[in-house]
Amino acid sequence: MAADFTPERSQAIEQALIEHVSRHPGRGRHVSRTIALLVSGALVGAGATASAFAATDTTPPAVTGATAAPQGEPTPDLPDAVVAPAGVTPGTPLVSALADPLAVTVAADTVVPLTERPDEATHARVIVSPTGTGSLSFGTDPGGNNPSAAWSPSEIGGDLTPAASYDFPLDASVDALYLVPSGFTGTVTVQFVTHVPTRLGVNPSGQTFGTSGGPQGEPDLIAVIATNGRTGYVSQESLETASGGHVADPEEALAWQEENAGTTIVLPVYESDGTTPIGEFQLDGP
Amino acid sequence: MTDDSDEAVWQRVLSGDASAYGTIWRRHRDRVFRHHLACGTPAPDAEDLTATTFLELWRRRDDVRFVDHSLLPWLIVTAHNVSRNAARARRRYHRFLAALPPPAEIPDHADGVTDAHDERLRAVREALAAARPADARLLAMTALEGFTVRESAAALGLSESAAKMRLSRLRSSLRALIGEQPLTEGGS
Repeated sequence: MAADFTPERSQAIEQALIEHVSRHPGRGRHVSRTIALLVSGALVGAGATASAFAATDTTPPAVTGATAAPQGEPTPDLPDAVVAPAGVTPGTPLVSALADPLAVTVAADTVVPLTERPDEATHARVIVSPTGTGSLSFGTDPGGNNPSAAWSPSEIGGDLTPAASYDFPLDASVDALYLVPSGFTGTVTVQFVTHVPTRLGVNPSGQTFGTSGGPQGEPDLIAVIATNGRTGYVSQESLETASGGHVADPEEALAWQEENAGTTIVLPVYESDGTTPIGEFQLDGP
Repeated sequence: MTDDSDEAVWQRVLSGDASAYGTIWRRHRDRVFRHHLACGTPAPDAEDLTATTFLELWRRRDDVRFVDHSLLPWLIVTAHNVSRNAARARRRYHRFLAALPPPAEIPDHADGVTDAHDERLRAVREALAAARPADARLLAMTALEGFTVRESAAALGLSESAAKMRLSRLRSSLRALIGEQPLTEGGS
């Protein structure tokens, strides 16, 4: 092969990679993710909650809090971000449904192919509706690094059985949805959707505000639902500290867990200006 | 004595020695670059995609698989995914770009250089474009990069027998499309 890598570019890329790796070290990520699951309130948006249904005709199902984003997700090729229209929390993606949804009944390990999908699909929305108790691991990682949700007897058979939902990002590495039940029976619906990201807002003090987990990084003020049901914002810094996201290694995490075991942390919730209080956000300690 | 295997170097990176990532880069840069060229990406873009591949390697660091202590098979799988993603992005804007006046120079240098003396490579590329994503990854590993079926299967998290079955199925389904060009002549 004739072509070789340009030496100067290679050196520049090497430097940039080393810098990137040192800025995003390999440790501590699991710790903060695990601890973040203990949040008892609801974060708004994140592409997977009921608010994401606002832009579609789909009825929003109740969503269990058990579905955390797994590590190393595929990166979809998202369109450019637009300004959030009125009534949409900045940072919440606008979701539109493509093609018809597909429903499968699940009682044993099932693989649903996702290769036949519209080019514009950025995510596969997966909605799990249980008919019996048990748990289901569902996701696009063949190695099983997927979210899971569980249902107890008290949750099944009522008027509103809670469904679990997750929008799985799609890229060329994704070709199937893997469903692994343990005791679980129910229906899984797959709907291809396009996420159009919306831009984070910026308040007069220059703080960014909006939903957590979007492609533009974490805003200074993170959208939450307060205990009084109103949507407002908590400061990213206080949420990070309160949920133990600042710990850097397993030893520190253990110390943090011991210190805060059984406590409840209350954070003030503000309007998007970051100063007008409108409610409280509670986190259970570890 | 120091252990110089990819796996050992990778452990050093994970435990905080970011500069060891440079070793991984220098060791495998050219091979990843050539993979992107072989997929039909022009050289300047192939350099970008090579950088992207190494960023992606780090982003998915929790999922990395070593084959005989080597990172290369996993890197090639990653490169292949990056390349397909880039192609998908280009397709998305295809209609817009097609409406513009064509660029003054002949754009695809790589096509001109490699296709002229490599009919087989062209056949493999066509097969790659036609195959389902999971099969295309396997084909890129064996037909394009010459990994053995065992190495490819290990990097892709498949059993060796499953990989062999896929390849054999692929061979018969693609024969109509690309004729009798040998497709899957990896090391085994």
